[in-house]
Amino acid sequence: MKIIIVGAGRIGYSIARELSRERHEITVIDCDDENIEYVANTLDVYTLNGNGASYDILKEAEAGRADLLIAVAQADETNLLACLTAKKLGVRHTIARVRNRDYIKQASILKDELGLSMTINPEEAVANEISRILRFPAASKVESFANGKAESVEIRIGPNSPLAGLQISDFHHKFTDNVLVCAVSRDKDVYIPRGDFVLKAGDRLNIIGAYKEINCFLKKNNSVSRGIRSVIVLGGGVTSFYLVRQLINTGISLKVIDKDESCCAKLKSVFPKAGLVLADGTRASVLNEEGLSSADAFVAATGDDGDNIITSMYAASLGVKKVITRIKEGHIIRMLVDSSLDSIIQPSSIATQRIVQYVRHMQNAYDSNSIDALYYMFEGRIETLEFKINSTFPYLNIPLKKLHISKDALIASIIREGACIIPGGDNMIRSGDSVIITTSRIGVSRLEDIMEAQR
Amino acid sequence: MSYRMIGRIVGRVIGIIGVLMVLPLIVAAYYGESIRGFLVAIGAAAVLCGALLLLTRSGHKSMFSKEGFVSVSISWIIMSVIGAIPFIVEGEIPNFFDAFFETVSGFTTTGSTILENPELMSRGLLFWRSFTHWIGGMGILVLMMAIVPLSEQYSMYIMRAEVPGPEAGKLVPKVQHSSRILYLIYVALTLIEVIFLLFGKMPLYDALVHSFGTAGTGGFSTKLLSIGHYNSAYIETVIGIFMIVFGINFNLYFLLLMKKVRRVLHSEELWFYLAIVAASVAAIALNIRPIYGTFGTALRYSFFQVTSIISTTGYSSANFDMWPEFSKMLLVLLMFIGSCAGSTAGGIKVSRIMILLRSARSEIKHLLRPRSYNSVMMDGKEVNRGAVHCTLVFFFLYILIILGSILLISLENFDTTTTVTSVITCISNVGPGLSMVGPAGSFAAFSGASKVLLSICMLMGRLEIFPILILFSRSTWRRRSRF
Repeated sequence: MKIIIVGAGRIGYSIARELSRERHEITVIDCDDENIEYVANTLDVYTLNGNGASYDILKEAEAGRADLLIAVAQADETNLLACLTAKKLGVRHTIARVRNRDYIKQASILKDELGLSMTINPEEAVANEISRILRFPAASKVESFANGKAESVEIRIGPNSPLAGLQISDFHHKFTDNVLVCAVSRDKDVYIPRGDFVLKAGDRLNIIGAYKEINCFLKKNNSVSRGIRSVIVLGGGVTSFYLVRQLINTGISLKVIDKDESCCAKLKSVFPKAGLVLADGTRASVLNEEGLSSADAFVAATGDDGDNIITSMYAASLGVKKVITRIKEGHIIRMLVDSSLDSIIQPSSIATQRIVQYVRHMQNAYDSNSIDALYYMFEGRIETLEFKINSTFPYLNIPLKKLHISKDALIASIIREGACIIPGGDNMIRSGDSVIITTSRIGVSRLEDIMEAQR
Repeated sequence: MSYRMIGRIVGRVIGIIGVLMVLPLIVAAYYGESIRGFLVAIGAAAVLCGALLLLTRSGHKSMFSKEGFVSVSISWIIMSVIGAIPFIVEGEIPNFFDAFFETVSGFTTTGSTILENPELMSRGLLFWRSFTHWIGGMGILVLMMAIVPLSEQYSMYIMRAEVPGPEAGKLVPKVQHSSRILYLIYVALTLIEVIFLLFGKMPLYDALVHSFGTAGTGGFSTKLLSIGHYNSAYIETVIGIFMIVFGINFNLYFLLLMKKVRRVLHSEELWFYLAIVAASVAAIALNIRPIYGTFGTALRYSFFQVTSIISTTGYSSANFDMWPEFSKMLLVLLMFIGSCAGSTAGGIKVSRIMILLRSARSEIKHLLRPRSYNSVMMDGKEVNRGAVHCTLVFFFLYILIILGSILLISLENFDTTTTVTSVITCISNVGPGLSMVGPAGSFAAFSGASKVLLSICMLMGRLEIFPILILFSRSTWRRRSRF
């Protein structure tokens, strides 16, 4: 595909790097000489020096013939204007980074009005990632589908787990009907389990369901002794803002430490219930006083990578169960080879992942626009896809047990009116549903592809 | 320094040279000549290529600008050694230094020769000699990147080291696609020239050989009198026009194909280049008119010689060594200038000359009015200061190398004209100089050491100094422990 990237900062650079590896034809536009020279020297992409929102530059970049424009410059206004101008020139899809808190409420309006295919807010994406790790501390990987209506977690079956030796058909009787084992990785193979599949200790399972149900299941399964109930967040910036917004109603008690009064004031005005501490959280005495040693989790999200690393190391040394460190610079992460920090979050890499995932799905579904999202599981050997169903789908209103679904695929859940349904044989697919499937077949682009010829 | 990465690149280049040698081998076989020389060379290339690729099979593949420059220079030196093998094995140029000089002169598209009379050589070897011009013109590493994709990162370093000009730009996002487009334009233009020459009743073999020489702006001819041999105004005009064509930035042809005519017409370098050609043709025609009688004949010889020298090809239709002093000096100055950046020609390049002139002007303006803001503009855009600085340093090094080489060549104790023009013609990749190395002479009289020195000058000219300087710089080869 022909892709134009506006902005060659951290995110722009890493998107350009990932996408050029996937053999896309990329043009990077930035107005900073140094940035653009670095890109031209190190990546196999075309570079243009100038304002990415200007008509002339976009014309020179042949936006009219491009498939996608990704605007990730510093200013939201530049990004939106770039998308708007490119759209007028004839680009097929646009993605804009919109990060300003003031625009949150109008984000969806902007998206529709400007015809954007996607907006990305890196800080919010980071907050999502952190909150998911906090909510499922036992799971090694968490993905969410359909705007968080369904989540999937990856867990490993321990030697004494009640899951070991269990047949999938008995799984529902013993646990719950509302979660589904949708993929299993054993040794070097991956399986889409059918009813007669028997689980073994050491298997890695991918489980899908609504957040509450999954949490319930994880508790029953004893895979975590106690969830995370108290979190100390260092730094009251934009990321913390979104994190508070997500966690405030989950029953997890939060404490945000920041030394800047205006930061605290901003948080307090939006979240009156949030616990705020006005102090320099990089001091051990402050952290101790606020009860770091008894907290379940510590999130270091100040603007300074160094502060985040040092305080996280301190928290880990005190035995805090889950320590999450936000680090902006990739080169700093590369130097942290030998450290006790296990949950490191890099904002640019998260934003890049989201966008690259989107581009992959665009690539996969070049002619069919039905794929809504695509995720890779078990190192890319299993794909989980989300489809929007419209009235042209040929198998509407047929009970699933009457459909012949191919052996390498599974309908994992149906999202209907905001609720996640784990489908049984009597459920039907209706127009307007979102259907999530997992498959070990690569390159499925339509839901029909997993249906075998009907008799 | 990542020797593995350098090994991989050099190995691939050698492999490609081996494959390309099959063409002259077929020509030699067709004319019933000995193919032993080519077989030995292809064998050597295969063994060396295999060994290098096998040795560097695994290991990390990181590559930075240093590795890029070093692998480009080493590739050019090694391919010249391999290219020299057929001449030595066949015994037609038995001396190694002679054969090496001839091959470097071929690959760097210089066209200086040590042969007194090329008509005595076998046709297969003459074909190979001219074919090296064609390969070297657009560049072997550009060809390599068009065929095998390099680990995409840092491939720009290689492209920049090999494509002439102050700022090598890509045409399209992928290096591989850019290289392919360049080669397609190159092949197409060469074929068109062959067809035009065939119309002028030139035999196919001669048409091919002379088109290779023109396309690469090299200048090896198979005839003693070069293009003068044919004594045809048509052939001279065709070759003259194509020499101008191959001296123009290839990016402009791509823009033409993309129907962006306006951007082509706005290229200041193109107009400046054509203006220099027109002015020089007129000046020399007036100057040599007494020799040839009519203005028309003078114009014909003047046009051919000016295009031949400014495109750094080096063909001749007349012995310009016999021309008046003014014409000879003007031709020497044209050698310095060369053609456009991004073409197959040598010399300092028109765009660099423009940047030099304009920065001189802006400096003078600045001295007159210290508070005025002056910048160097090209095609309506400001040239950034880094590029201006780099051009100034390039020019200084160019002159420095010429002066140093003149001093060393003077040990041969030839006359001043020979000494000075032999160096200038080599570093500018033109071919003939004046006096002993004039169109009627050759470089045969030089000693082995001088031939090596001139070979290095030719490589410096073709690769634009920096890659070769980096190869010979001490800090490139220092061990890591000593930084």
